[in-house]
Amino acid sequence: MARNNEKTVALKKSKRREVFLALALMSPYIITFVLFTFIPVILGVVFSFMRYNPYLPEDNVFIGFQNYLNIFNFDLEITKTFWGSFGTMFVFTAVAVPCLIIIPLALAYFVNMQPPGYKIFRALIYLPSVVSISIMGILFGNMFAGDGTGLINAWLGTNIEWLSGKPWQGDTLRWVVMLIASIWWQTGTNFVIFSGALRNVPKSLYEACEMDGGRKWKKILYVTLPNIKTSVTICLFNTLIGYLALYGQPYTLSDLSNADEMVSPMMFIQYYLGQSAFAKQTGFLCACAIVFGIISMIFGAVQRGAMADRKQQSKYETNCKSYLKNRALLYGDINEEKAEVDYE
Amino acid sequence: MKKKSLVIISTICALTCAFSFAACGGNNNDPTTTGTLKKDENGNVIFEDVEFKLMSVVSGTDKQPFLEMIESFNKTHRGEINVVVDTLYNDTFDETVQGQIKNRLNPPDLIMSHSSGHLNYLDNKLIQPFDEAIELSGITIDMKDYAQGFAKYSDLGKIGSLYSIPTDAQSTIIMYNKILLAKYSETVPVSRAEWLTVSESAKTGEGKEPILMSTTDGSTRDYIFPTAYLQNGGTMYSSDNHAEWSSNATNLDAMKKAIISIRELDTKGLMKKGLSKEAVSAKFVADEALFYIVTPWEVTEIMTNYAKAHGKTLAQVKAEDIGAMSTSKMFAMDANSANAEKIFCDSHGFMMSTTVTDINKKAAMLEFIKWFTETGTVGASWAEAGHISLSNIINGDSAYQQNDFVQNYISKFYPDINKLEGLGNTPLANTMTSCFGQILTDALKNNTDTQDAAIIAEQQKKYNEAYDFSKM
Repeated sequence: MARNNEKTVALKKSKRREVFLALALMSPYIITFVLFTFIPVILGVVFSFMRYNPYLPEDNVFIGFQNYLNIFNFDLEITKTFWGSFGTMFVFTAVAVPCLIIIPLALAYFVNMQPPGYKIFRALIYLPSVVSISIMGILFGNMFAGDGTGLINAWLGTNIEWLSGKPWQGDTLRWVVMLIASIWWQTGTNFVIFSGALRNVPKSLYEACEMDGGRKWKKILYVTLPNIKTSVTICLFNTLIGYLALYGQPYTLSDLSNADEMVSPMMFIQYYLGQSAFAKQTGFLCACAIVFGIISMIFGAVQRGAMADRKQQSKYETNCKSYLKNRALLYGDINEEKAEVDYE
Repeated sequence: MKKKSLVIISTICALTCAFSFAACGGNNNDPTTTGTLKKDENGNVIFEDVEFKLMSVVSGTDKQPFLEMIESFNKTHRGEINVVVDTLYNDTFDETVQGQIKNRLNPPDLIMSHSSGHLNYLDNKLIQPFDEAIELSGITIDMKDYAQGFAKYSDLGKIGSLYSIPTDAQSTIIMYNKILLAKYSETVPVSRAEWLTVSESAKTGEGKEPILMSTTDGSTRDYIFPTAYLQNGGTMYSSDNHAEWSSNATNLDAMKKAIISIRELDTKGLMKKGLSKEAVSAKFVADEALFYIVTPWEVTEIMTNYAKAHGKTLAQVKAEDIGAMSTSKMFAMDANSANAEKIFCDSHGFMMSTTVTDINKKAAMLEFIKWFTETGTVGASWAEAGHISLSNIINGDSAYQQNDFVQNYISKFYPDINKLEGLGNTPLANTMTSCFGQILTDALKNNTDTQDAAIIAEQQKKYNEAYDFSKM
């Protein structure tokens, strides 16, 4: 009995040590997360229910849902600007996100076939991801500058205003440039994830597919895609959330005609929060941020729901299991009941 | 374990909420005055080792001369007053300084920044008036001694108070190629008509570019268009701080004329639009153009590049090759208008932080401001760094007037400091500057005035929307 107690105490001690070690290892992240993400989010939520001016604490008052009501009061011009900032951002996200899944996936697929020099290609594709968005903006801003100094214009011998125009008013070229820049800059990140996932697809499944007479496209459709679904989901989620928070591309790829146009909710919030003249509206801007956060979460949830694993196995995984089950039954390795459980 | 985590998260949430609600009410920041002043038999303040911190936005090529000027002040006031200077770039200046004052974290005592942003300091109760210190110390600073275009905003809307003391201003100027100009005119143009006539001659005579201005450079655009608007009789905003650029007939007319005054340069083939700053600068340096509209802090760099390109010294370039003239009257469609000589400027000014309580410190700051804004030699040194003094006392001082740089450049750029105008007391100086710039950029995309009214109305709406939001 005493020995049992000693064992239990030793076990508890060892568990406690494990927990302590885990916490110690996680603490840098936990502290940073709590200080710079969790607490600011809670503060943001609280401020969104207040008329809050960080400079004048004596004027701060709790006003309930007034800021949220203002966000949906379309008689206010600022409300129209806030919701207007979603427009072009949604269209860009709808175009950019599929591009940033399909292109890295295609590249990863071809590089995974290990053509000559594939290691160089792999490095070259990933390289742009290393630079910051400011560098990306400077590079593409100089390439697509509208005046005589633009490299593309110089090369084409044209004087196209690539980066000018206002939202829905002649700014299509600007969004195309942003799309090209985004693909160049961000393909590498998703490419690495897809490359890893593609290498982990079991070769036996491809062989099974081949035995069934499956050719290249069928292999992609019935073997590759179902087996990299988790990676696609992760990339899709990260890219979607990243593009809903669009800021850097329109900020860096602009010219004098649209430098102050707020083409995304992040730009709207940052523009006003960055000026002390609007300090009194901190509460309203926090409410805008919360509403924007909720909308992003809804998009994220819808995407996750659509991509959720509904326990559908690929055709070749099912066939393989069925084959193994039949073989085990034929050789009498297991009985019917156990086979049902093992090969379910 | 789950329970424990829940307790920890709930505690953090509760503490955060409590902390944020604690931010409501209380904490009155009204400034007070402590201490007493020592005075001599003549009533002059005796300073004994008073030190204060000055935070300045001067951080470009003019920083070194500024620091040298402060050093000379400290030398002459050794044992009495010592000024400790710190500088920050304009981009982060207001945000940083306002945070320092608000949080009482190493706040500056005296602030020298762009006057157009001063109202926000007052709105957020971060500055205090100089009046009490002036009264107690007897060190007088009278706004009648300063350029009226800026002095009129020194109360920041609180009539009878002195919150913001203007020091200096800057705006765009017109550089010219002396050799080319001599071919087509015996004198430097002093009106728009003369300017355009000379430019026409240069165009037809040698096929040179008559006028250069980068329409893709924000800083040139942000000075030149408000100048054109003021010269054509426009006012920046109404008495209730709203923009009336489109809804007021006089302002609309001024806006349209201002656009025409610049568009005309393009339609007459006198100025190419869409050129970058680098491109126009290169053309001017290569003797390919007659006039060049430019910001004053670029002058030295352009002259240096010109000297290098032509194998000359800077002194030779100044004497033989490059001159500069004022934008006064150059954009006024009616040369006889009382507004034709106005020039839009950005200015620097001093403010006192609410964190200062000691009357000795406050008086020391007044002594320093008086020295900086009312001493002729100081004004001349500051002018050499590219800043024109807004003090009538300095402008009337012989040491200032006889300074070589002031004689040859400053007095030619800005003939009358009382014709200089700033943005004044708008809380949204950045938005207003941006709206003005946007009007010009959008209007210059068209060769006719059909869209002008709509463009002006759009920017008026944008500014007023931002203003209403700031006051919502």
